[in-house]
Amino acid sequence: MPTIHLPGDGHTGPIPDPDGTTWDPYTDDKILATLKAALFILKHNIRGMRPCNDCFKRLPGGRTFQEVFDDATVFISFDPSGPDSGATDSVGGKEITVGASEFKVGRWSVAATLVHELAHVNGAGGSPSIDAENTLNCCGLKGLFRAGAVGLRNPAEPDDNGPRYA
Amino acid sequence: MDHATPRVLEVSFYGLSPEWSSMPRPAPRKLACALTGLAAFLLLAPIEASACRCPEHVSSASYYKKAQFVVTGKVVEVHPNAKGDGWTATVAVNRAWKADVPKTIAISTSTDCALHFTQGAEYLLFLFPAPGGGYYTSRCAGNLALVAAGPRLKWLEQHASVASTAGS
Repeated sequence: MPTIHLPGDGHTGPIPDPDGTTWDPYTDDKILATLKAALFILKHNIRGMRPCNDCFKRLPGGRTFQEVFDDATVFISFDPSGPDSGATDSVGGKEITVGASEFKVGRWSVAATLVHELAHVNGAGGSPSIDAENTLNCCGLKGLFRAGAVGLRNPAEPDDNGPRYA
Repeated sequence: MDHATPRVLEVSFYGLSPEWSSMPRPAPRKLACALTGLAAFLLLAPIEASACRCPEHVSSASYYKKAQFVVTGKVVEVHPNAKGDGWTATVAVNRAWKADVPKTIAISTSTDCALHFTQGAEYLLFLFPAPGGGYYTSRCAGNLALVAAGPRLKWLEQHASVASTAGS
């Protein structure tokens, strides 16, 4: 299983992005509990799923979901300030961070974000490739697929009293 | 009836007539126009699918609060960066909010959340200062193609502080 970045573990994450994306340790018990619940979903509902493993094997990294998920050299950090749901330091990188917004939505959204980011760990290309998000469709998380499109789709404009989450 | 029959036959066998090539063909012409239009749309529309997973239903206020500069502008040039994980775009700025920016700026974007710029396209962009100078943005920062940015622009016009685009 990927390693959760915790205070005092001696792990140093990547330097923050200029947009505020950070790779911080998990210090909040409630957020950590949600992350563990998401990892439980991945371990027990998705890890052994054949279509998901096949889908991951077709990515440039060539590993199954199970193989990527079992890789303890992959670190999962927390991003309290960036704009992304999740980010990986680079395609094929091993430093995942999950945005605070996903924890407000819940464990299933965190699980979906982790599948997306694990696909990047396994070589799924960055923009404009949609390979990483497409893995959700074969990993039993079709309902959490986000089709985001700049230029074609104008995202719903919620009221402007602050962020709102589905 | 004598007049009606040939007319019906002409219509019925239009596509099978040996003289079809000399006849006016509005349908293929319309199809060609439609395909040309579709091709132009696909080439010009800056499609950005979900390479990076972004939060849903984020308000304009939230994007504005996080960014340090907000601009509209046209992409003049796009170059891939040295690391190969993003791009630097040169953007001619039209309007600015929140803080002053030069008329022409270099915007870098990288990682799996890099924004895929299309040369010649116009955008509403939410920017951050880049460590080495210039500006930085990413896919989830609230950026939109200008043609799709109506409500967000309206929010900016009503709530944001206008900045200048003086200098170079």
